[in-house]
Amino acid sequence: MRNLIALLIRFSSLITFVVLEIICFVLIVNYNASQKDIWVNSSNLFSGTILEKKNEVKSFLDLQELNNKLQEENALLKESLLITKGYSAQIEVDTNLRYEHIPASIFSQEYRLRNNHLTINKGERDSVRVDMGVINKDGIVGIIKGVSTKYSLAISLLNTQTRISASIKSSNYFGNLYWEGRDPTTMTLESIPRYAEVEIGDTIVTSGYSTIFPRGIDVGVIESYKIKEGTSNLNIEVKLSADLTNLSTVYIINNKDKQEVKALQEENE
Amino acid sequence: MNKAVISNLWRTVVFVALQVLVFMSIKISFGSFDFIHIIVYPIIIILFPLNVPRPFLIFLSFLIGMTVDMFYSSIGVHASACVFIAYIRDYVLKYLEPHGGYSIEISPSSHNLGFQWFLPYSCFMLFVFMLFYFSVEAFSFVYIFEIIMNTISSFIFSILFILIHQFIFKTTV
Repeated sequence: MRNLIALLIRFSSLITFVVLEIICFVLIVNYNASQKDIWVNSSNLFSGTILEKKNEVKSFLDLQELNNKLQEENALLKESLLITKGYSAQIEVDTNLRYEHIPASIFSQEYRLRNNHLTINKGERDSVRVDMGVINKDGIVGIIKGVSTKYSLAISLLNTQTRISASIKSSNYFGNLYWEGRDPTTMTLESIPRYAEVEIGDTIVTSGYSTIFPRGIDVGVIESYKIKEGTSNLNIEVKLSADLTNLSTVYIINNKDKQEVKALQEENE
Repeated sequence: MNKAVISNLWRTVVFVALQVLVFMSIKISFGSFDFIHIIVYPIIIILFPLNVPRPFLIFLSFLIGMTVDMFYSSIGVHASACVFIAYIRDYVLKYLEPHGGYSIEISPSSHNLGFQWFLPYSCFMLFVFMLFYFSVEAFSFVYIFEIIMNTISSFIFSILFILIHQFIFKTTV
């Protein structure tokens, strides 16, 4: 104790000095505008850098969650976009309100085979069912063919068994879209009558005549066309708008009235 | 109350009053050269008698600085510079100690210790005060040019007043 007091006496000047200087600086920073600004800015410069670094790390860790959120948001936006489109076209209102988008990720894809498939990370528990359409932000991608609890398997557009009802946007002539099994960027649209007015660069969209895809989703643009030998139909080469060799985020389209439509069709066959 | 206390109290009151009533309002500028501030009251700290306990001197300097700050409306800026030179005064005195040592009670003035001794002592103390004061006032070494210009030009004018004071008045205690 005596030592402590001796120490305090020995350093009394230093202690007084330090304490008073600290008081001075606290006062300076608190009561003087310009010094306060400089203090706040400099300390922000310091703490800001650290906080920014922390944020970078945090946002990196949260990327997955953020991604999911964005996907969901996108799905909502896409739905409302379809609805708005429907309003502008009046007739499509009913049809497009029926469709719901389920965001999903592709985690296995192939495009070099003749019959290519996609594996998707959403399954039965996310209300994915067989025969739902798969699209991404650019256009159609495939159709669900098999569903397990957590995953689903889709046949890609790049599959020789794929048949999709598609139409020319400007003239509404429709035909079957299929893949010839070679080039992963083009598909063929068949059974368009030869008198249809076709121009290179025209947009091809889904026709909406099946229960899989709603009307008016982009498929691609016309690259070339020729008359199929021995028929009165055109064969149109369509350049796909979705890049099927590089897929990550997709939306699965759920047609809420599918069962009803199917039941009706089967009844009358 | 003995003579030393009255003398120092009187000096404190006079110089603080001079500082805040006269020198504060003197603005010397040559065109855009606006760096001259006359600050003479650190002479109070410079001339405190040697037998004043150091922590007490530091605390008194703080009070003097705060008083001046109230008039300059720059709370803490003068006080911090005062506290700083009060703290280093002991080291400066030790460094400049004459051969015979100091006689314990006297004030380190020009009259008591000779002009040749007083000149480097007061110059050093005042210069450190100015440098510290203007650094704290700018508060960032981004303004290093302004700090140095202010320090040098203000120092030259202020030291003149202090030296003139020492020629006119014979400070004993």
